[in-house]
Amino acid sequence: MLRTDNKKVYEALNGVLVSNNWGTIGRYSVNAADMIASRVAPDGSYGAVLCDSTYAALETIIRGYFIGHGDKVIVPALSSPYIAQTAATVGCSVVFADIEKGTCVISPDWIDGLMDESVKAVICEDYCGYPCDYDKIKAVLPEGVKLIVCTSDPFNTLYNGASTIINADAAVAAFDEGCAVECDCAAVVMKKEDYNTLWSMHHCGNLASGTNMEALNAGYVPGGDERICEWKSALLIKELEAFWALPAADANAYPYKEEMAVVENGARSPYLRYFGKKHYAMNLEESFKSEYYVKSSGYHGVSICPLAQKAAK
Amino acid sequence: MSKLALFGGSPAYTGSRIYWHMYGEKDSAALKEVADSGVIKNGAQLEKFKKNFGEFAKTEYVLPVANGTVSIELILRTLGIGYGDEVIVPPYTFIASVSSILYSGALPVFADVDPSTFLLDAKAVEKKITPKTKAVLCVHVGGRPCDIDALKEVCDKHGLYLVEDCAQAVGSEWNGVHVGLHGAFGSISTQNSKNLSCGEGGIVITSHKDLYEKALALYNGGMVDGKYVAPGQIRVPGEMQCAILNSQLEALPEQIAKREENINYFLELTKDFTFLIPLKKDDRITKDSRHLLIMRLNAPLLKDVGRDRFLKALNAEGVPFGPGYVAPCHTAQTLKSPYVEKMTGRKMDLSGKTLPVCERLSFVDGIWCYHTFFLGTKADMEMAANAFEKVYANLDEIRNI
Repeated sequence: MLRTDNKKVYEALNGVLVSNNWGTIGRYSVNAADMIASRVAPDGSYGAVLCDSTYAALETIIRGYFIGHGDKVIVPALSSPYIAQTAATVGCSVVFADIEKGTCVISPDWIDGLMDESVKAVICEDYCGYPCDYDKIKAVLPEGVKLIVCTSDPFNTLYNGASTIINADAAVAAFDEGCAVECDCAAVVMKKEDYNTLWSMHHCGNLASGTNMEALNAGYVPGGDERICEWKSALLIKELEAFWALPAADANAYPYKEEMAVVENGARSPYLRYFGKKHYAMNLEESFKSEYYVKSSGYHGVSICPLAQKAAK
Repeated sequence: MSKLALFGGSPAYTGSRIYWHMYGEKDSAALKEVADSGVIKNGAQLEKFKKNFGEFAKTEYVLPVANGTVSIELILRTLGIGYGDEVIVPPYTFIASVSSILYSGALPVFADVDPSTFLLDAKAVEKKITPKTKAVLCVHVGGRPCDIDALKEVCDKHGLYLVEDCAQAVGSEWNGVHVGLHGAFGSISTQNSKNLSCGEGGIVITSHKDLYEKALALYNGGMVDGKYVAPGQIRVPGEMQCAILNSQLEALPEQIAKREENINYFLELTKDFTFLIPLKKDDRITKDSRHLLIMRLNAPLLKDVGRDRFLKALNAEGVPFGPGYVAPCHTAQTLKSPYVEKMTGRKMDLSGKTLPVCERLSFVDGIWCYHTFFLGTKADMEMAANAFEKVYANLDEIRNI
């Protein structure tokens, strides 16, 4: 649901109309990306690009790290469906990890147990606004394996007092239905050193302005079209401003008492909730046994994740 | 001979300057409707556009998507095409025609184009078919339909899918039927520059109910009846994009007719210009969206002046023709990335050895002009023709620029 009133929504959209740039990579998209990056990482250590959906954002990241066929990606079994579905679409072998007992987030012990030399990334989701245990996860992550964070409230789901995103190599800041800010889009927020490559991957392989070959650490990339349009960006700016203007919310005052445990050093988003939502144990879905998935990834078999499966019932 | 504008003379063209997009109160009102509804996704505008576009193209089966690249990916995945497969595609096209194949996991294989049309040559396609080939992706570059009959014949003979990349061809028809409806699927783009535009968008169309229903599962993120049955993504345009498409669609038929009228007049005016070669006529093209007017310069007549100098002088006269796809896809740096081999399991053939026609059009004599130029007046076309004549008459002057 939009927080911006109808009049301001119209002003935002009409502003795009009369600018005559209705497409992509315009001033609204660039401004919105800068706003998000500077809010999440005020020290300037992260950049951002906007994508038309969570699927597009996660695809940009996975492909931007050259992960694909023959590679494994560990994902939580209890998660937003776009995560496992996107990893499968890219051609990765999706390896499901169970959740921690008492929480709804990925178990670092499971990550450790599933790790092998084929694993190229671990995708953690701050499920329903609950942060993962990033210190424990990073402790079991071998060098070279990317940590990707997916969050539905990049501003209020915290770990060690800061956005969970700053634990990641790159993150999906989701602004889709059911997120703290709903605007039918998503941002890729990435470490500055990866900005040029991920930018290029989301924009048909074009180079960001000012990029030279030395700065493009991965060389030219076969980018896709994951870009957001100016309409959504203009609206997102209004929604972000409205969201950030809200009085501070108290997660403990949340009316629903039976929420999950929060990991140590974590703070959950007060704008999202676990109960009342449809949950999927993605490891049980037919998607990961389908002919097309096996063809794309070459992978057979999925793990049994008892806690996630119980949560999804 | 009048002095070239490049050297301080008066430009031959002083006519209309038309900027894209053309919009007005209707579009603003459409956006207000979205704002007042409070709905930004999967709402009334999306449903209205499916119906409106279906009526326009004369098909029931319309799926609006986020862009024209994602639309081809959706199509290929629906057809079960992916890792280990090959898809034949022309090199004379925008890179998205190729990257969408890569993103499905299939290997793009380039086949040359016909010099008289700039479009995929069915004979060249047949030479590139292997046991791994699953589909031919023909591209209606500039809006002009490919020789769909010849391509279908090759596809039928070898059991291949024909997929039409109609990114630039909304409104074009072959034998009275909208492009995109002749093979398995068609993909249309409504990106910023396109004749029907919402800034960023795409449309999948088909005339086959069974294929449409298969595509629906992937369109819904791989979900059927509450279960995830295949890897899929939800990449649907927002309500504001659909609202703009609904209002812009109203003006499209008139714009197509205007472009056709002006281009036909321009071609009539220039029919005796030996240095300018139009595309071959084909009566099976019953409508041409004219996203681009594509032509060739008769290179031998330009002697050592070359296309670039000619165009520089022409642009100075005020006529905005460009050189077309000067970097055909097989020369794209992005396709040399090692990630391509990971995506597909194999290296692409980027040698260009079997693509001499494409290379000639790209590097030597192809030219084109963007569609907005042809929304002007007859007088504009006369000035444009005069500009061409003026530059040709002054070839010696531009030899050394």
